[in-house]
Amino acid sequence: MGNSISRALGKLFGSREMKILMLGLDNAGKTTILYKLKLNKIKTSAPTVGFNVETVTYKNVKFNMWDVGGQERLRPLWRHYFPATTALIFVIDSNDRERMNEAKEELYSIISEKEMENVVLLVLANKQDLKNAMKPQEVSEFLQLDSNLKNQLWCVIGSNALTGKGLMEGLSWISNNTNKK
Amino acid sequence: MDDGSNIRCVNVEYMLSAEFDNKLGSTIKCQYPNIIPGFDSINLATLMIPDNMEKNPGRIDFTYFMLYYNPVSQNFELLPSGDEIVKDMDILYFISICNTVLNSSNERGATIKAVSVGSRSPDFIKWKPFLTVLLETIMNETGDDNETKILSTFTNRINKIDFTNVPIDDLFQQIVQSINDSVDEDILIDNIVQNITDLIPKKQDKYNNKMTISNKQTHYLLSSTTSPHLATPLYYKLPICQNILRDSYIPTEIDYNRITLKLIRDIDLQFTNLTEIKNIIIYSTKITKDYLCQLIFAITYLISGVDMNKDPSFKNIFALPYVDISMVGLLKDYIQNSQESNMRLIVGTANPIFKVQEDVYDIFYDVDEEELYASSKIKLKQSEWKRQTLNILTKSYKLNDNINSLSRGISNLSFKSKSGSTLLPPSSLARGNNSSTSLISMNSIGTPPTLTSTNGLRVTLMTSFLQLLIWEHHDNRTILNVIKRVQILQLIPFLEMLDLSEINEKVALEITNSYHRTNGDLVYFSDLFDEINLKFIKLLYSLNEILEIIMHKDYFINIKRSHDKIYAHTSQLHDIIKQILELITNEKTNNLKNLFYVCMNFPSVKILSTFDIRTKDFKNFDIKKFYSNMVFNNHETLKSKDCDSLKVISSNHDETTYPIIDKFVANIAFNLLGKFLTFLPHISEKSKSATTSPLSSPSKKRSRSGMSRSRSFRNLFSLRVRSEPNLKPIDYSKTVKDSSQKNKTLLLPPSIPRQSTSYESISSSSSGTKRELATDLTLSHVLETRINKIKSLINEIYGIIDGDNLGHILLWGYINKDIKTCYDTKSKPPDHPTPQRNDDENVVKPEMFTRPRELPIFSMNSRNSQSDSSIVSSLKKMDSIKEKEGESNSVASSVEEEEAIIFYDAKNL
Repeated sequence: MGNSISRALGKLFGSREMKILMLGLDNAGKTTILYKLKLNKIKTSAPTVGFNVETVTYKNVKFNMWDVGGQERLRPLWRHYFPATTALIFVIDSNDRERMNEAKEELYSIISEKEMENVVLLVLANKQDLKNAMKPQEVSEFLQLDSNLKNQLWCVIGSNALTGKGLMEGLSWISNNTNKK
Repeated sequence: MDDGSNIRCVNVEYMLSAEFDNKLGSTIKCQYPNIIPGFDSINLATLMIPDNMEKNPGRIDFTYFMLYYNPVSQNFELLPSGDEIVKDMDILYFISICNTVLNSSNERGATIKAVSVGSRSPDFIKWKPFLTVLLETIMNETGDDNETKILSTFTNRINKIDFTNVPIDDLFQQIVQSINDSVDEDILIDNIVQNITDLIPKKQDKYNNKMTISNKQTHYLLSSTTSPHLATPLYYKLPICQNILRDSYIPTEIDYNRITLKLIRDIDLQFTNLTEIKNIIIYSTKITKDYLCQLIFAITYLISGVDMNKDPSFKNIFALPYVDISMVGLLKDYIQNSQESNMRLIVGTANPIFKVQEDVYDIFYDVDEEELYASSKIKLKQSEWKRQTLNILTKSYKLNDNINSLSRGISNLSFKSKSGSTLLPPSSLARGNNSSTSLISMNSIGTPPTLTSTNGLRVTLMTSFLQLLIWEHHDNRTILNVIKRVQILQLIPFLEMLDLSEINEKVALEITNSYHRTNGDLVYFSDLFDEINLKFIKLLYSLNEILEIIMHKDYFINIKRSHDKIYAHTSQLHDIIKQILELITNEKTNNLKNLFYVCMNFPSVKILSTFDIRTKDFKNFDIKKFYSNMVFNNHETLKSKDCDSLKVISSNHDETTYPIIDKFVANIAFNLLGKFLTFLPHISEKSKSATTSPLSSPSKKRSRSGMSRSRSFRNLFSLRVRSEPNLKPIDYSKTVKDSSQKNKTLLLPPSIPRQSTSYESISSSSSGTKRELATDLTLSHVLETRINKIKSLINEIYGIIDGDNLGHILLWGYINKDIKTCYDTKSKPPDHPTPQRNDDENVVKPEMFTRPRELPIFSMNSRNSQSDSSIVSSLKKMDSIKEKEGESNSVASSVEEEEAIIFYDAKNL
């Protein structure tokens, strides 16, 4: 009842609700990003067992953000979270150059799924505060999104979950681009 | 004694440890003694380390899972294979403990580990304290070898505890589970446990583990001499506790009130065709996984036909107490393959993503929001079911106001969730009773909101009682006992038209099916459909009915002193008693404990004379009001239809706070069996020789327990001489004189003057000629023989019950003082010897049970120590009252009133 009223009011005043799926390799910083957005706090935590789900409201848009653990054995389970997803945030540890290829493979594995072909893709090149971190442009080139994703909206934004840099920009980009769809 | 060289995995079959690997995820680290067959196909680690475990460092949680052995693949699987469940299905029950410990040496800042015990005993709970200590030990270990060593030590040690030395019979458990009486419950159970304890010769098991019994539990303390290699001293200090009495097949710590009953009630009310509701997912992130898993067990237990002797799996209802998203594929396959079967799945999860996985559930229940969702498939079917139902049933409710119509509109429309599934609002909204709920809460504190279903079906008596239970918050035992009693009430109409000989296995099955078709309740007790239990229900009901007639205060007025009718009624009674006796003395089957079981759960059946509960719609019905007035307080003036009106509820606050449930679960059947014993004064040999009479007490005093003789029958049999074989009329005045002179001839029962008054009254209502009096006397003689025969049979039944250890405790715990006085213990058959209770202070003394109920009315020794002086005193009192008798009619009328009260009580045993 409460939900339906809220939805009705949302429609009346132009607010929206969307499901965001946040994926990436383990230790990429997904949970830190989630709670920085939700609580504006750094919640140093143990690795995510399973998932986290929180609602973040930004500019009249209610983002239901799902953060799913990135360990090897959890990755095959990502697909169960695909249904009804509006946007995918793929988080990359820009400092972990050794696993960049692994991250690329996982990303393409996700977006090649039929259920994900219409989602907008935001890549957060995280941990930009670290010295050896790849720049967003480098990450973008490495991922070859320009040549491979002709029919899908995508964007790579550099981020630092500890300071929150790039996070709001990311949400704003999603909001703007899903609005246009 | 076992020297430890021949250790067998009896208590613990497998031990597992798991850890959350920072790169891989949840991983099994060690298994002992072997790798579980089929282990590769099951992701056990994700069951041991549940979702979000990292969020509460330092706070342990438990998960549970079962593994079913597949004889074809020879592997253990998470769900049983095949359409038919084999009787000897091999099930392993696992309990896991998990914790997250912050650890700066770990690159991710925390260590997450779990340990699991697998055994063939469904009693998970007993492992909890020991597992807690074990996990603590494992947390501090690093190498796999060390962990394996710890697991092996633990396994071997636990397998050297003999849990079998406490004899606990299943039917015995069922009977004890049925004990529920606000006064006697604890005393009875304590004494039963004490009785069990006395059967255990030694207070240690065969491995020298010290065993103590307290608080209805056995406590085993590990012997340090047989396993000195357990490093942690806590192992020796921490007892493994096992409950002697259990409430369900898989014991839980769940309070049924909190969530369980609400869910069952809501499903009952919202869904039309419950047989089509096969797969239910229960979701919560707010409650612990431990609670979630136990909740799944509780719900599975309650909807599988409550049978504490069988795993619900044997009734094709499977509990998956906890699943994570990795199990969704398994669930889909399983459901797809079992679509045509009757299998049901009750699944627990902490992951809301299951809500969008509509092909794995019919109903998704969000515990945190108390919201019930139906899958699109069920929503479609529900519309069809509703349409069919509405074609049959007349839509009987009307909307009272706009608010009601709005809420009903909302409830009927249903919401479309984002995922596309249909959101059915919580029942409090869905039934469209927003306004009625608020009205009740304004007007009548202590009265549950009345019910309206949204499924187009009537609200059954069971659902109505569930609502009351939810409202009043009773303990689990009371809840189960109420459900059993309501089920018996709902069963009786199916038995009424049947002859006892017609009830056989096939008919029992038909009754079961008809019962389910008619009532469709999700919760029921399957054992009450057993042939023998149905027979006892039928007999007790018939007994109650005939006693209601015979012991009615106006019996003779009602039947116009028809001798034929009296004889017919007593013959009916005789047959019923005889059939009960025949059933419990049947050598082929052990029916005595079935009688105990039914007696423990037989309710007041007055509601059956008010409604046809097979068709009665209990929507907007105030069950509490009805019972407080119609059944327990006997306010005849209140018509049953008033209970359908909300207005009545607000008019009487006192009655709405009446402890209806406590009264409803009070035991009545043991008294019912012997009620007829009090029908006439009974003089034992002992009291005869002492020329004492027990007359004065039961007839004069109003017994709280409600037993009293019928005045009408006293009149009929007033001319009765106990000490002489031949009956002859005796003049009252002479008798009094004889009594005062301690004449051996004892006249019964003119101990109180109102009898003569009432005798005259009855005589005047008949023709009053000498000829008729003579006929009456002849009739008295014939009937007395019959009555004595019936009483003899009752005594025999009581004797058999009394001769059983448990029966003895129950009988003396439940029968009231008057019946005890009349029960001739010499009827106890020689093959059922009385327990030597007076010689052994550890064994139950029946007298102790009588005090709570009886002391306010009778002293404990009234039966045996009634002296001559008390008789003389009674007679003198009688004389003095008799003198006053002629002086004032008002005395007589007040006596009449008192009699009426006594008779009312007698009916309401």
